[in-house]
Amino acid sequence: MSRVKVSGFIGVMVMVLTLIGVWGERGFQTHLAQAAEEYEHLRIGLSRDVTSLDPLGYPSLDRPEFNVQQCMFDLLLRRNEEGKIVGHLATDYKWLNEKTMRINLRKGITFQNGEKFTAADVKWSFEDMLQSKRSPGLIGAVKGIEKIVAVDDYTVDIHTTEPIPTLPSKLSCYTLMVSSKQRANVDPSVYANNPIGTGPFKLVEWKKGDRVVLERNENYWRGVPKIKKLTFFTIPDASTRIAALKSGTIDIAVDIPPSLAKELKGVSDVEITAVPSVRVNWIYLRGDAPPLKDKRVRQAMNYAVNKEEVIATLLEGYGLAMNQAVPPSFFGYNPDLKPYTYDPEKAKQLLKEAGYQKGFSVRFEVPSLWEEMARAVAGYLTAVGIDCKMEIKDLKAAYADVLERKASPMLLFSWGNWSLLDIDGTLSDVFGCEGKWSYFCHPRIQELIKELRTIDPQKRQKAAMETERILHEETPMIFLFTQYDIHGKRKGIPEFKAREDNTIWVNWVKGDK
Amino acid sequence: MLKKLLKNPKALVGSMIILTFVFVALFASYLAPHNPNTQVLSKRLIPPGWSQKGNWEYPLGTDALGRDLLSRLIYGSRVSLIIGILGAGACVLIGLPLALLAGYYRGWVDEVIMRIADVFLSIPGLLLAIALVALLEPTILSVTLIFTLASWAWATRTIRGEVLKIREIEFVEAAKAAGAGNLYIIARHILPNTVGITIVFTALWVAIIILFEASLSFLGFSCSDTSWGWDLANGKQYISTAWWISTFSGLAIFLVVLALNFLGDWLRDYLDVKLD
Repeated sequence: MSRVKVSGFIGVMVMVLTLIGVWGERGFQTHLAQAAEEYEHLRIGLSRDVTSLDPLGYPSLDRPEFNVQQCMFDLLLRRNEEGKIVGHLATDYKWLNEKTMRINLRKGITFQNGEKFTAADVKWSFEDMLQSKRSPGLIGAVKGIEKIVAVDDYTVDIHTTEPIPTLPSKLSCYTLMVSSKQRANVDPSVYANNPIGTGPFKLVEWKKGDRVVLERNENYWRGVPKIKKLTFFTIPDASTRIAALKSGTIDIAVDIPPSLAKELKGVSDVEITAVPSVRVNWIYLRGDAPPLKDKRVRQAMNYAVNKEEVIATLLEGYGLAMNQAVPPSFFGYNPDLKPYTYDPEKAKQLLKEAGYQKGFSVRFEVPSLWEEMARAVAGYLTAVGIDCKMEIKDLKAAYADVLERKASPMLLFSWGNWSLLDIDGTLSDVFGCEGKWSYFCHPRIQELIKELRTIDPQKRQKAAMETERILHEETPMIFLFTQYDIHGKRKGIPEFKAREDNTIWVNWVKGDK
Repeated sequence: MLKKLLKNPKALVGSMIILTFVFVALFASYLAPHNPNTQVLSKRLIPPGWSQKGNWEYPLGTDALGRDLLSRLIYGSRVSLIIGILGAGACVLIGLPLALLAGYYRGWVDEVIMRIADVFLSIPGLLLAIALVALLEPTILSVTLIFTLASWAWATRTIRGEVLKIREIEFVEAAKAAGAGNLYIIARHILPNTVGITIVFTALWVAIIILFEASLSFLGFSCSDTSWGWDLANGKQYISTAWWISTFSGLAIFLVVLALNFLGDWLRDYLDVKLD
């Protein structure tokens, strides 16, 4: 009996608990100094738990881990605020030939335990990444590296099995450098709790599932870090993250969904920073069986969807409509291609030419995360006679379906380009005949993938333009849009900006502009 | 019976709500002002008609895809009603015969049936449902099946208690003395006396299953495009900017479950049934 009554009031209880949760956060006060000279304590709310602090030992290349790790470890190269690749632990690099890159290391850098950073550490770090069974994601990032040669203490040569033009991009993302001496002698599980890098912050405390607390490394080689104490909180629920930012419990809330960005507008001391990111959404159109085998049908589907309206409404303006494989900020974007502007009449015409004037019915697989977006798209397709049978799945199940070649003829998906900002990070994986995530095979694209693997920028440019032209024509996807990275922050942190490579950068030192 | 019902305000309110609910579900296609699945993105997140930015074309407002919320609620009542009735009915269909056998024969029959029931009772219902729904495609039939599987044991356990009580009453002994067979006694003397508890149980169980379906839809395993639980979950992310989506679907679930409880309570008193 009482069971029934209790369940009847569950709705009310949930609301009360939510309110308590939101208001409870208000007990805290902000510790943030107003002056941009130095920050006493900066608190960042992450959208997911940090699973490992060991740059060489986490299962997938994922943002929360990298963002926290790059505060304690450094990369060889990095992207600056403008997105340009600049020296970091390395002063510069040059290609000795198509398959060899020479890297000159900065001198006088020490790890947080006082050891010198030398070529031996670079060699050791890469070799561990290449062999490591612990981090399949990293193996993908260093794929194609044949060997690392320490020429002298401050010079390293990277030999690759084939030309890897995106190597500088890869070195400015993911591949953090660890200390060979310290790392080799410590058990990985112990190391995960005692990370020691060259970075601007040192670990103070890591409460799994709750927070990572860091303090600044006064001897950081770039200068004294601006932030004295840095805390990453794990706050998976976006509304809670926003409430925490509004109430002053945190100073930065990362990954604000577009639908919630509105909540931060008009809040007096909070502002939004947003930028088109590397992550795009598209719908696979499997061309291995009719009706999607006909490219006119696939083109019709691109014309049928009003991308601009979806962006203006569901994405609250935070999106860029796409007409090819990569967004405008990438190497390989072809500006001469026409957009697939919304044109239902043209779509119907194309369907008629292909012999489907009566339309057809097709299965459409959707990870539950993007159900709303999928329903919007399906609504437009229905309007031109294409009836989508939606199959809502868990994100992991949908991933597995793609990898195991079991996906439905249509599948809504998202791609992060390995943050390379280069068409190479998309092409072979998604549009190549042997690509792990590919449902497309085109002989000319297959050749172009090889042609793009050269360090000559002009040849690459030419190949990329042709590639995009073919993909635009063949449309193996409904190209939807580029997502934005949206973060909320307290006013008075001018340094903090959303970055197009999808990372969180707070390693500011005194004297940075 | 009707007179007594009219005198009890709780039961009256309860039965009014349920009658409305059934009426709405039956005539959904006549009552709904819009197609519940037609989306007009340019008209998304319109507040209810009476608010300042509202529009009486959409009396309860629209959701994030620009679908009319009132029409969705009206069509959603069908899903709740069908699953509630089918689910509770199936529970009783399985539970009642098993309860009669177990309660009347006792001994090893009772042991076997009740131990199996105990196994099912020991698994949290929603957990079992989530596991099963991951295996089967969620359709109205499969979801009903899942709820039945997850909750038949409750029916068995509840009704068996009543059977145990009845079989000790003298008229059963008298029937035995008169030479009546076991099946005859069950059919003629025990079954009619379990009608009260079965009705009460069914009324309450419809409520539980409606909640169950809403919970499952809320978690993303929806068997229909128009389910109250689905709207509730979907409106959650907009709760601070578009309160009406979750509020009205939540209110609908709340009212129907409450009404069924009122009616069940009254039926229990009226039929003088003791539930443990």
